[in-house]
Amino acid sequence: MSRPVALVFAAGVAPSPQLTGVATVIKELRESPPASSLGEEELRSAALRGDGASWSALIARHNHKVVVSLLGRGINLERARELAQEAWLRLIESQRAGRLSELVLPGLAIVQAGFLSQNEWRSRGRSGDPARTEQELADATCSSPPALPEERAIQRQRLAQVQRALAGCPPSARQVFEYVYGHPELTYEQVALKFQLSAQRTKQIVCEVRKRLREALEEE
Amino acid sequence: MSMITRHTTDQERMLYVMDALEADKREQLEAHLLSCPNCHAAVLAEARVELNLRELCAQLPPDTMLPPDTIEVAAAPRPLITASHPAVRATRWQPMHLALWAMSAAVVLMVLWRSEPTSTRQPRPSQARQLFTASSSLEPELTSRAPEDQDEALACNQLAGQRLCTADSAGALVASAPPSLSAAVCESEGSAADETACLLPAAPGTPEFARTCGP
Repeated sequence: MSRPVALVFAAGVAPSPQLTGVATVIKELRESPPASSLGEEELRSAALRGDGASWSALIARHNHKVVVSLLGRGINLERARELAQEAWLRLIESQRAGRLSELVLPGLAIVQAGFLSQNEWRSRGRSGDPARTEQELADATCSSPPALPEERAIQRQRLAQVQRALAGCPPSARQVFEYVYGHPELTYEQVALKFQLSAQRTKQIVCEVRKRLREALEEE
Repeated sequence: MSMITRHTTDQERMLYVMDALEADKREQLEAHLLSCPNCHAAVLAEARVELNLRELCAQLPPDTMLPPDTIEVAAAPRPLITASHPAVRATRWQPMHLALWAMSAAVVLMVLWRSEPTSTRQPRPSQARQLFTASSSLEPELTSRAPEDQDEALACNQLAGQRLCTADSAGALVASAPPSLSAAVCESEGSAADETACLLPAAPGTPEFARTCGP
């Protein structure tokens, strides 16, 4: 597995110009001892105390989920990586400034990255094409709660479809799937340990259930 | 780091957005995505589905999102009254004590009931009996052998100068019918099932006694 720092600043991706103090953070993260063997709770506690190695391990563990959340908002991969880096740096800066009392991951990083992407959309929206910005707005806010009654009705309908599709799955597979999606902070290895399965089998189960759910959502 | 030279498959894209790929495979795939607009667009679509699924799963009922070994524990409602509550700290009567108290009370009540004079336990005479006993001329002739706790069906016979009401079992009431009564009607008072009585026909102005017993 590559070093955590490589994920924070992946090869081939130029750091965002807004990132100030990046070099210092990289240096500190590289000099920190590896902490990936620690559990999630210990890592979070150590990160809240300012431990660079713990931050590196947490970033290595959760960065991809942050990137995927940005991809889901229609942001291209390159920019998604940059925004994810920026989100992590904001979190580290907040912790160093004493403004971070709790660290819920990957949720906090995903929210931070979504906030940054919305900010970016707003700054572009002032001088952009109205039709395109409307679409970008829809992408950027796709994870926010539906405001209109029609949107809420669609959301309810989707939820019912997902529930029906889940009900059609074998109970054991459903449990594994729901546990994975209900605990995004856990790795597949940790979930596999919980259900006494192999990590490969756990991934396979989640894949199968997810396929069904996707088909159910596409039926609409 | 090498790059995938072919297009990505559905399975690979799904594993990618699920964060289920090994780190080196993920990097290879990402390197390909940066140079392949088609695969990149397909991954964006897959990521959107993933985002939707995560949102929807977050809205599922919470009990379905728990691990199997913690469902029972988590589903149990949290008690509103805890150990620090004054009601819990107060002296409590043990269930054994309560049972003993109940038994003692029952014994005392039984003893009191047994020691009570018999006359006070007799039920109030029915209207029919009152009617007979009210007449001093009939009282000596009124005998009753009917058990008190027995429902009886009366049969009424009209004898010459005398009306005989007999019960199915042992009870019998014998009363001399007043000469003026040509047709006697016998009735068992329903309210006093433990008592057998013979009811004279209703006198004019007393319609409440106009009922007759039996066929």
